[in-house]
Amino acid sequence: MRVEKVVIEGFGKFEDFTVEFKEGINIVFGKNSTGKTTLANFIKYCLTGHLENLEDFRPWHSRKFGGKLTLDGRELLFGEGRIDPDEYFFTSFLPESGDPSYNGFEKIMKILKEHRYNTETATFFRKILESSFERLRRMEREIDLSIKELEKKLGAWYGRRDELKKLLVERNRLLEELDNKKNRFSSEMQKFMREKEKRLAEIDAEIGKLESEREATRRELERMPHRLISLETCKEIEDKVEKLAFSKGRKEELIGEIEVLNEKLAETREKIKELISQVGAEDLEGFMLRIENLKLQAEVLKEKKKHELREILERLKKPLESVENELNEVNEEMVKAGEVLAKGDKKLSLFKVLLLSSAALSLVSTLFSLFSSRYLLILTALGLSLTGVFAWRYFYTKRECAKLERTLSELTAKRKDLMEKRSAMIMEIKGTTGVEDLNSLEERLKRDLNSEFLRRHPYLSAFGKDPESAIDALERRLNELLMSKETIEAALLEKNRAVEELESFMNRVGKEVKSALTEMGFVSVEDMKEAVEVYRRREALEEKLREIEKRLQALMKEREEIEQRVSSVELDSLKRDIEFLKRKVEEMRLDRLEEPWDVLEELYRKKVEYALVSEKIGHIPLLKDKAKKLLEEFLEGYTKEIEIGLIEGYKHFFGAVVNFKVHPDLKVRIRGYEDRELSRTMSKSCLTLIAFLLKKNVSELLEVNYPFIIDNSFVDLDDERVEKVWEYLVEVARKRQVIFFTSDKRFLKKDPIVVLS
Amino acid sequence: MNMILVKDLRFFYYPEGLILFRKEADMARFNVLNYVLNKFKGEKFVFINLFWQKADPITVEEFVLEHLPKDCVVTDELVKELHIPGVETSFEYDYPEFSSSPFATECKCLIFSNGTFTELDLGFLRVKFEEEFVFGDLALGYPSSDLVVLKGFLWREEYERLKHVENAKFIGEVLDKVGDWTKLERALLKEL
Repeated sequence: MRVEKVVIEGFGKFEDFTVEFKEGINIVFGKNSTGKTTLANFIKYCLTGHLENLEDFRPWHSRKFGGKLTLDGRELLFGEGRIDPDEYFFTSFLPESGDPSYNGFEKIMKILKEHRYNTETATFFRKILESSFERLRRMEREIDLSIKELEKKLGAWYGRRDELKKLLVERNRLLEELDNKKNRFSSEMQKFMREKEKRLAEIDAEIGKLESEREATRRELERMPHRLISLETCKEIEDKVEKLAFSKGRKEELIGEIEVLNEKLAETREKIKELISQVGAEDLEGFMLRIENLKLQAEVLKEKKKHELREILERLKKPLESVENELNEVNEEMVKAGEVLAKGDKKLSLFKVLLLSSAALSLVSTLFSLFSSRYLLILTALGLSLTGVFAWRYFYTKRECAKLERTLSELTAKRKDLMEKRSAMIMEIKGTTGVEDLNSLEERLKRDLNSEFLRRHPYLSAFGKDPESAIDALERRLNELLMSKETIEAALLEKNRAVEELESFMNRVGKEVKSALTEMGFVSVEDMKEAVEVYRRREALEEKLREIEKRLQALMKEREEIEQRVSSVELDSLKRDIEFLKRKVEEMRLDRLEEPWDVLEELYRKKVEYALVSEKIGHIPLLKDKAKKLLEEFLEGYTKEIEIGLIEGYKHFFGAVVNFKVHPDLKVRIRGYEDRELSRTMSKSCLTLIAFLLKKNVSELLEVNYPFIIDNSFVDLDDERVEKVWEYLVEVARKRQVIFFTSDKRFLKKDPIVVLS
Repeated sequence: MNMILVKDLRFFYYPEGLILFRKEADMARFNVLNYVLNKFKGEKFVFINLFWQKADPITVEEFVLEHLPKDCVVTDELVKELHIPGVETSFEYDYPEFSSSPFATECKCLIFSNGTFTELDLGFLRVKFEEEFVFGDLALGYPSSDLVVLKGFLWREEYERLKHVENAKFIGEVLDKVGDWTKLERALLKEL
């Protein structure tokens, strides 16, 4: 920024004043009160639009107040101001009256910070702080997706691998099965060949045997006579001859049977005769009469004994039965008495308990009634009444029981008497009849009767133990013999008739056979049989020959077939199975899997990458903390730079090192004396130089290029320092315009722009 | 006849960073296998966990037929399922815990004789494999293991030092050292 021209219409002592400035150092020389400060303030007012004591600069003579300024080719009207006045004063204006900049200025501090905030370094830190590192997060997501994709890919590989494994297992199973089938085929083939050879040998043997048999048959046929006969007729004759032979045999059988029957008939007749004579009769009628007589005798004997038995029973049985009835009655009475006595005993025990209880109740209530209320007297009375009642019942029952016991004793004695009486009667029966009881008596009588009857008729003993059954058996035996005799006689009649019929049949058939033989030219049946036998033999041989031929043909055919046969059903089946298995194995696609290592490696790399990105993301807060700290340090870093500038500048001017401390608000102190203001420790010229150095450094930091206006400062410096100030001014003028108002000729190092007077 | 038990060789198994050293891993496993096969020629071998359980079955079948002696025992489930002819798959005896993996802390095999097990140390065939995250500066003596996988960040000069080392693999970012920024900070700053 360069002030090119100043035109003053009216400002202080200046009226219609114009001056032009150039780049670099512009020296405005003038002695005291020639208007240096007025001109400096005019430029300041034009640039900033601010001047505290503006009214003091009203023109002395002219009515016009103002002017203009050309800045970088553009006109700037009086008081228009394009630059912040505070910033301008702090950085680019060094007044004659002394400058208090070293006491700090917060606004400049803010401007400085703001300026630094926009510098590249601060922008870099801010970028860190503001960045969300979205790319990293996106990358993390992308890597995660890639990992998932790769895992999916790997999963698909595992799937293919499992499929392949299944196929391989299946193939190995098929190969195993194929091996088994091949082994089985081989053994089956060997077996088949063995069987084929064996069968061919068998067929050859059979063919040889049949051929020799055929030859022998042919020879036999050639030897045999050939005579034509009617086999049917021969058969009829043979049948008839057979019938004759059978009839003859049957006739002989019948004659034999007739003889046997005749013998049996004679035997039966003899037995009947013997039976009749046994009972003492002469014929059958006498026998029947005798039987009737025996039956009558048996009946009479039976009646007699019945009468005897009745008599004995009437005499002995009735008294015994009477005694036994009486004994039964006594027994019943004893049972009843016993039951009543048992009940009485129970009652007696009950009443005894009740009596004792009521007596105890009476006693206790009586004792208590003596000490207590009258209600217990009622209880005492009740107890005594109950005791009386139970005592009466107890003694009454006891008396009844005694009575029953007496009755029971009487019954026992009576029973004993009856038993003795009964025993005596049984002894009497035994003595009279010889039996123990009356039931045995009837049996005894019956036995006696039977033995007596059989003693009179001893032959009956063979037919039964008692007379009635023996007579019945005897009668039955006779009837049986009679029936047998009749049956034999009927059979004899029948058989004789059959013999006669057979004889007539044999005569007729014999004649027929004879005429038929004669007709056929046979001498005898044997002749015919022989001819038939020869004929049949020939036929059989011819049939055999045919059979042999047929069999030979079949064997030859079979041989041919076996020779041609190269396989069996089993072998064919095995061969088919083998072919099928081979085809199946060949059809199986067992492609080797592509190696998964690239995928695994990629997956591993991605996982590592993911871990690194995650680590980076995790580190973002730490980086931001660090960036924040560095930014803060950087923003206040101007103090250090200014300190260095001051220390170096001071050393440059005075050759000594003073350790300046610059506060963030730009307050300058000496380290170790921070509590003291600089004006208290340094001279005026020194303070002016510090102010100049401070402005120079702050300007550089803020990179301002405003014209640097120095209003007659440095007048009290020695020549050495004037030189050094000039060096600094030259250095400053390289970067910005310097307008140096001075009254000191030592600074006229070059021609002044204007000399005020 | 003695029985030689070899366990956990796990051919075709490359867990984590070992996937970057497939050749070396295979070689280490073959060294153990061949040493044992040569040393105990004529004996019966029992292999337990010989393969990665997810290995390609065709490769496994070929491996068995090509590299293993006849009538050996392989108890791997995969081999059982494949029914490879001439390979037994069951071993009924209880044996003490051990590992023949060249990557295990202790590499050994067992000799089963007359009902007792004897250990044979195969430590000389061990291969030390290591993988490690590198977020700080790399130690100068690195790498000390036989096979190393480094994961993380390396300064360019560290990377230059490592890139010709065959037994070391690096996965991560190579960074240029600028200012006082740490590796993680530098890596993050690259994202701006």
